[in-house]
Amino acid sequence: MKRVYPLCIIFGTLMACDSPEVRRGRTHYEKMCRLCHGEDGEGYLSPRANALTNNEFLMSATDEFLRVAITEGRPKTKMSAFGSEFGGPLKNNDISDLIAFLRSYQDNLSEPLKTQWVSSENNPDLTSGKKLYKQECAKCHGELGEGDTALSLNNPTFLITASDAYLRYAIEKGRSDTLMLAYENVFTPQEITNLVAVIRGFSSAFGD
Amino acid sequence: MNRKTLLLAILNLTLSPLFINCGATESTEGCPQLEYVGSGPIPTNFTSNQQLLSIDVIYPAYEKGEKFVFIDARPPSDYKIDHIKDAISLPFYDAERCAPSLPSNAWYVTYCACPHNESQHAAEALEKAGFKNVWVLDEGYLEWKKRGYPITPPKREIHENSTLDS
Repeated sequence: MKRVYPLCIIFGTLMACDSPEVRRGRTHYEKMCRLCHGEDGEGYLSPRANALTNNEFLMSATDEFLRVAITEGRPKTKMSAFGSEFGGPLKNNDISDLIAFLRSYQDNLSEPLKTQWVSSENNPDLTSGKKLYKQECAKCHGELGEGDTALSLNNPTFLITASDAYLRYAIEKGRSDTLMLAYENVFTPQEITNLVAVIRGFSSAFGD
Repeated sequence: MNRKTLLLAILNLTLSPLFINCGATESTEGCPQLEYVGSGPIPTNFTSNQQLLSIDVIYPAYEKGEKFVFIDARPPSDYKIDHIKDAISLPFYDAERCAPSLPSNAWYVTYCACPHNESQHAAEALEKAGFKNVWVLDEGYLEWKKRGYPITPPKREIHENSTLDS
């Protein structure tokens, strides 16, 4: 849900109530991102263009994660590089504005992901993880994480910036209002550890 | 300040941002120069009433050097890596702004890799600006590359210099 300030409702001019950064960010978003990611960032207007204003996504994605995704894109996918150093149209401050705009959709402030999501007591079991991935995840994310109806998981730029905690959070909490369900009461912590390890291994198969 | 003046001041402050851009004309700075893929006759096979046109119709016209413009509607970062030989770069988000800098009576084919999300957006912007002869490469750029049709830089060169080629 987009944050709305009470005074803005009184005066009835929502546009004027956002900060200058958010207003500039909205302009960039509408010009360059809306086509694939949707009017309100709901995602999937273009296949695999994820929901950018999803609260679970924003809670777990750091500013650095968002900045790299916008600047460098996801090579070999339809997500282009928009950063000026890669030949794109957006300078660093434009990207900061875009991030501020996306953050304006976030319900709660981000907090560091809990350490229990970062490490596991047990080592991952890749064999079990691969079996579970094939059963539960491959249908939408592809056999090797190349993406299908859902976004790809094997992109090296994604895997470099997505921490284990980010991946665990996505599996446990899902993405509300999308097809990505919350699996925290479906998989055991060990199974999620196994899946994170499987996803990490996709990077080596990228582009094969 | 009386009550009426105060109310008018508040109304002005709250509504003014909505009218800031009224009447402003966007510049065409940085827009691409016109460049045809060939100097022959205008394409004779682009007869479809549909905006999407098959690669099997477009490529023969390109190969024969017929006179049309290929527009790469992807962001310039993608165009920089590789693009259809002799295509110009006009990103989908700049098509509306740049339309006035291009002749509306030329023949155009837009393309992207989506396979045609960004290219259709660009084509619609040109049509909205009064362009009559605009088509979209249906199968998209990746199919063009897959078939080994001409690109810049040539495919062999990309393999030597870049890891981004698919």
